[in-house]
Amino acid sequence: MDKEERSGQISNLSPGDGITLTCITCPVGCELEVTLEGEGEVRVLNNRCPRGVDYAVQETTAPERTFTSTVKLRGSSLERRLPVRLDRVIAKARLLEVAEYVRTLEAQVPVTMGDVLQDDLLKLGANLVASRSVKE
Amino acid sequence: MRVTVIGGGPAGMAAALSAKRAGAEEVLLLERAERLGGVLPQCIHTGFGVSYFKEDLTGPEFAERLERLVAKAGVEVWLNSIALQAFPDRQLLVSTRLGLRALRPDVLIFAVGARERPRGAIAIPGDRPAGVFTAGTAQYMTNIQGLQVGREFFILGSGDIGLIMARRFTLEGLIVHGVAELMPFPGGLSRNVQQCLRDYAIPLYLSHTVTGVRGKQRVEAVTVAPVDPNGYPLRDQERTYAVDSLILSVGLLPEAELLRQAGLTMAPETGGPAVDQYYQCEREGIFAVGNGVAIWDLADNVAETAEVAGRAAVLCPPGRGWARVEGRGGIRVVIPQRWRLEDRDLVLHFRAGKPTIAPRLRVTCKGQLLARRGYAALRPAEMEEIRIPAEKLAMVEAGDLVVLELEEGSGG
Repeated sequence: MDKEERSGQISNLSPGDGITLTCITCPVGCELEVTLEGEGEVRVLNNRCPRGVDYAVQETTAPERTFTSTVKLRGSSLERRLPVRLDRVIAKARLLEVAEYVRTLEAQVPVTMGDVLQDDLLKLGANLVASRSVKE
Repeated sequence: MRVTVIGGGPAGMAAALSAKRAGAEEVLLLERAERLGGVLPQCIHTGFGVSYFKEDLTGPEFAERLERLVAKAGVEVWLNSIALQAFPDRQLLVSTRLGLRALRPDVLIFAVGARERPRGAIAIPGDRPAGVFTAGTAQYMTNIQGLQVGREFFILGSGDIGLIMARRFTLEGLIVHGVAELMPFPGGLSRNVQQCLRDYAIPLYLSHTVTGVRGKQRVEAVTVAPVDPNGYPLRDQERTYAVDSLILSVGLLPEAELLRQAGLTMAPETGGPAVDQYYQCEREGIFAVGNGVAIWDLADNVAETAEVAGRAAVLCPPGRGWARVEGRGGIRVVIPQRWRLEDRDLVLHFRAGKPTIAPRLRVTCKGQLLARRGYAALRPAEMEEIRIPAEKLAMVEAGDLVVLELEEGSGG
């Protein structure tokens, strides 16, 4: 457990340091053995596909995550909430701030899956889109 | 040919779709809720469709994509329609908005899904206040009903839905004090331990359990203790967490009532009926797919396997006999449990009983080796597979037993 706790802390690593990262790119969840070799350069072991290397580089330099939530939906006889997502990954460090902002938003029927509810949310370069259609 | 599918989740939709595409004249999809999708509309996170649609989708998006295909293919859908009773001869009693209907399709496909293990099934001692929820119920209340379930949470069990809800609560500004897992390894996928717990510094206590719930009207506290290797709590190391909610994520079980009524016996390892590689049950013309057969890792697996069944329901010639398939020595679940004799490769899906590093798996019949494969690691949270080539299977006869097991001396 101690080792697992530490593996989440990657901010103050210097070249030569090794860490274990769980790749979150797909459900396989490879346990990557990552060694920092320099700025943005890593050596990766235990990855079962090339995406593991991309993930390790990203995660050790500027970690990113997807964001999903729900917003209040007005005008529907059936649904009270509308599921929403950002259409691209954002900096992991901004997630809580984004969540807090999205809690203040509302949507109105009719809405179609993929509709942009707010573009360039908080100037993050990602749009907030509807994850489903609610016609009435 | 008339095909009736019970359950409009990912399994039912995929099965109905593939039956229609395979040429069934009439395909009827029954759904008891007011919308299709099963559990997907409440699963607002991503990770769906990577394999089935080759795109990373949210649950609602995955459901809507499937729903569109189902409508386009000409599948008849009855919402608010619940199968009350099923009979071994494929008769079905259905309650609809227009009254009771009796059906008798040529093929009946059960896509009835699973339900969560409730508190009663794990016997937590203590008071019985409000504030104890299964993870899926909390997810439904949060994402569909828009209700606030609680303010401060403890989670028992590290199943995927519990992990997902830990992150969801945290992003909603609520506090998750920790997750206790009875086993020495997590129940959910590793990626979810990372992106739902470690990302938010939520502690995961392995080999721990909830030893008590306190509270009069509402939960006021839970006590948590480590367990010894036999699973007994070490009371002297108990800790108390002041929370108003306890979330249970302690596993899913196939919803078996209708399947039993249809005369099918449930396999003890899965809680679902025994199926062959086309998901046909022991009765001709009755199929079972999705989480109603066994608990799969992903909605993608559910949809893909259901697709196999839908096609087979229409196109498969009568079988020339079945062999049994059994998992032993470290293998907890094998799907299928029956192999319908044919001249094709067979893919077995299986789950290991405990985490094993570098194991070798072997499949034998009558002492002869059919397949062998090494794995970097096996984890109980993850369904794996092994392929057996058709030429090796040629020696297997009806009534034979095919055994899947970890080789002795391999793994650790």
